[in-house]
Amino acid sequence: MPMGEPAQEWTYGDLDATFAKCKVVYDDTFVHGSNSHHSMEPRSALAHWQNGKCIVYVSSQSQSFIVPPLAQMIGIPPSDLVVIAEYCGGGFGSKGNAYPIQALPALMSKKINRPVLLRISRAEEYYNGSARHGFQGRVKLGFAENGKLLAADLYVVQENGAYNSFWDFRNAGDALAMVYQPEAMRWRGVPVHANSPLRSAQRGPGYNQLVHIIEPLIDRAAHQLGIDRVAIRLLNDPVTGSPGGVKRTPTTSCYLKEAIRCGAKEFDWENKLAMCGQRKGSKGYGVGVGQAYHPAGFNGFDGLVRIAPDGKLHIHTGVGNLGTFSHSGTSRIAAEVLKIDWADCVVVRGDSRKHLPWNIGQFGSNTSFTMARTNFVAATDALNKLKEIAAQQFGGKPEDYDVDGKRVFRRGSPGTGMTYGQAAQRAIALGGKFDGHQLPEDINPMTRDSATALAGSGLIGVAKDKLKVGGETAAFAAAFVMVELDYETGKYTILDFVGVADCGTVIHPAGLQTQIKSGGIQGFGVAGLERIIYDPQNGLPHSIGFYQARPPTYGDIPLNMRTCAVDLPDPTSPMGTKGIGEPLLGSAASALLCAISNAMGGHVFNRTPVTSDMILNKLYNIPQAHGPLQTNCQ
Amino acid sequence: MLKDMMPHFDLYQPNTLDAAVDLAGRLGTDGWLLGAGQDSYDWLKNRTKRTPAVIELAGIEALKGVREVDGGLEIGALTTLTEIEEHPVVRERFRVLSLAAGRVASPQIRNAGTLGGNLCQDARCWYYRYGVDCYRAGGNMCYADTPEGMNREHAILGASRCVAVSPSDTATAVVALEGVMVIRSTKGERLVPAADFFVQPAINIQRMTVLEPGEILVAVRIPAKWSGASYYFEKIADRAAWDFALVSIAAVFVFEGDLIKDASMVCGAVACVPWVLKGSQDELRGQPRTAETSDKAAWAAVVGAKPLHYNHFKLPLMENLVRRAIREA
Repeated sequence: MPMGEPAQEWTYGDLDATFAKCKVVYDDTFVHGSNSHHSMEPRSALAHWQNGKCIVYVSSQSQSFIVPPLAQMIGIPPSDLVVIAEYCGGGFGSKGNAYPIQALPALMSKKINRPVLLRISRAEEYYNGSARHGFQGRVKLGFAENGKLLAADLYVVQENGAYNSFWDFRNAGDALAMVYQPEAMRWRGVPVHANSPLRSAQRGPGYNQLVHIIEPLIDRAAHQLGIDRVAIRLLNDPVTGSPGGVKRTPTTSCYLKEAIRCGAKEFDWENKLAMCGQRKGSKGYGVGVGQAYHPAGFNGFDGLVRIAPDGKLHIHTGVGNLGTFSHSGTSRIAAEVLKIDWADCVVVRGDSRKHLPWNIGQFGSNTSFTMARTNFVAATDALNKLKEIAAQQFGGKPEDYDVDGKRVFRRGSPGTGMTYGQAAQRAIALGGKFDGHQLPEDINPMTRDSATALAGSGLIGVAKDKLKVGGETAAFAAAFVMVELDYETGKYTILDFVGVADCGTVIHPAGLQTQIKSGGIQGFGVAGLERIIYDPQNGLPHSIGFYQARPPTYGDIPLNMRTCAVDLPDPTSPMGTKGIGEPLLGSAASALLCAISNAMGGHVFNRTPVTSDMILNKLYNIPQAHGPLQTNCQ
Repeated sequence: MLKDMMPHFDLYQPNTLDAAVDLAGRLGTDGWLLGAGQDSYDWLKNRTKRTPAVIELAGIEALKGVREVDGGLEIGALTTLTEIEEHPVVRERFRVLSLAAGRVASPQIRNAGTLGGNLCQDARCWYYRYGVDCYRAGGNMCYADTPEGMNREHAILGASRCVAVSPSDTATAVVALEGVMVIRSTKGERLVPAADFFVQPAINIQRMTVLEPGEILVAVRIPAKWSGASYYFEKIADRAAWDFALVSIAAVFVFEGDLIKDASMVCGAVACVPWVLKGSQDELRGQPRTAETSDKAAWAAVVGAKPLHYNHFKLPLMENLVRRAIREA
């Protein structure tokens, strides 16, 4: 592979000296294919203007986060833009931030003074809906005799498409440093423009591509050194406080070893491993374990809640709705702080006219961490105000009071107190900070506008997240897969899957199960099915429909997909929560790639996807059709 | 060009076969025959192909249903794939057809899609579907059969300029069962053996079947010959649902003890037509059902194959499916 001057690079440790003491060294080139986001809902957008305001209906993962950049694209102040994004039929990273298609109808509508709808077809979604960055690269890994990864040297060439886009190539370096903890490492990377549709972040951008390439190589080392594949991961895995990236930032919590152990037990690793290597007719088994990571520690956004005079708690959330309903999952934290039944809560969202706070977008596995903090600080502000109002009314100090059952009351004297409704009415009477007429100085202008609009309508809890930070808060995941490979057809059937999340405290078990399973299914597609193909001579795109791009179908997944969670809290989240979504794809895809490799006697393809024609070619000694570093061809 | 938007056309919805035949005869090349639309709507909505008029056949009851005739079956062209998959007589006596119908696309498509539509569907070559001016579209080149062409799904046998393959799952079974196509036009009715119904590119590069403008496939007759025979069907595709075959096989056998008395084997997705494995059948007749016989049949199956750059894998796959069919039937 030609490796010129990289655009960026970093190194820690003495690379040459560390490689010199390695027992086993691999030096391989690799290819990671690009794949579409396959959002079920194409990114159509509608806009019209009314009384000087621009109202846009968009397909977006995020709500508040896209208002400033979209307003900039349209050329108006954020306060003149109304964004309506109540539901989103899938984005997977491609609709995380504002994108130009959201702005085009607004600009056209302004010219013709009529509402404008820009309808994006399925085929167009494959052009302008973006895709995961493909990689070509070279990796050198050095292992000690006991299986410890001592040294790593990674060079990534990233396919950008026609525009500047995401930094997957950087993330790949961070993932290698974090997941495998080499003593010395060098990362080099260069993004290159290509005559192909734009690329953007996709679930685990860069972090996942990296593990898809490295995990099978870890298996190869385990095989060569005679070490169990679970054991070699436990040897290398990070723990709480382990450093990541070139800055060697410590993790605030990491329970990847626990996830591996938990998964191995649930999967019955030892017994399933014993089933491999025996051929039954034309078929044989393979098992694989995979792991992945994604940092998820954004903070500093705002929370906004309102207790109305009827006693109901209105939780204003601007996080967006990617389809996971985590806007509600994380809003429950405000309900818990205020000890109010969920039936008495109203989640206010989906339309910037509803007075939403400045929140992170729903991306980057951050929602459950970042929004837990914002809802916690806003609810805590409301709680303090409730107690203060009660102390003014009934005497004593605020700390003498507690809440429950929609009431604030004096400890030890439950009859002395008032309902939330009465407290809200009292807040309106008091005015000032209690009802939103006086606001904290440090909140975002968007939150300030929203709280000001709500002023006088109840007890307002509003605050900026200034909770403790320190270190890298990251999500980790492990997965186990068993396949039955048909040596006559190159087809495999996924017989079993166990996915394990290290996502901090579990706050929504059903939602988490769905995340683990859907991440697994998406991972199966990335590892073995999904394709973005171009005719290189004519520049024609092959994959412009679901059946051509081939995301997995119901028939391509195991009937029984099992899930678990470590369920240990992260100390920097008030509820112990941290990221979830992204590494679930990477760990599942890696586990599948490793299982296929295992069923093929340890052969590593060093590229994804691994398709049935590649498997057949290998089994029947036919040269692979693709060139050594060829992309967009399988 | 505007895409993904249904263009204007005149819509005719006859409710009798005679009316449909009259319309088809009158409109000729201007009359697009529509079954359930699973193939047609792609062409029309994408505007890759245009037509002044569409003749929708869905309202003609006479084209629907499975009837027993002389120990065999007559299956209306508009019978849904789900009905064929689940029909008790098809399942009991011509199981290979039931299995083939059950592997088409997805349950939703099988619920709507018809036997006639599945048999008559156009080539799925992605270049052709994209709308390029290839041989099949009336141009003068094949985009798939070039040094850099993306031809993983394309033909390894029987190609002549065009390397598209027959995409139909049911066609392999109908040909293996020696079905007969019943075709109606204003000139009357004609019967065409299924093996002759599909057209190789060397004969007519712009057609998949022998249907002339104005002709309607009204039914498929399955003769009694292979009733209750041992059978095998397998479709290898990238995905378990909603996908076209990389290679498929439909086979029926008559065994006498350990001997193979007769065999009919057809592969899909290896040539522009359902590919009858004549050489394999010859190797099998009168031979014991052994691994050695299977090997000879497998090798005979790929004689003359010319794989393209990306589809060499189809050779071992086709050979292995032949072996499996003999072994598992």
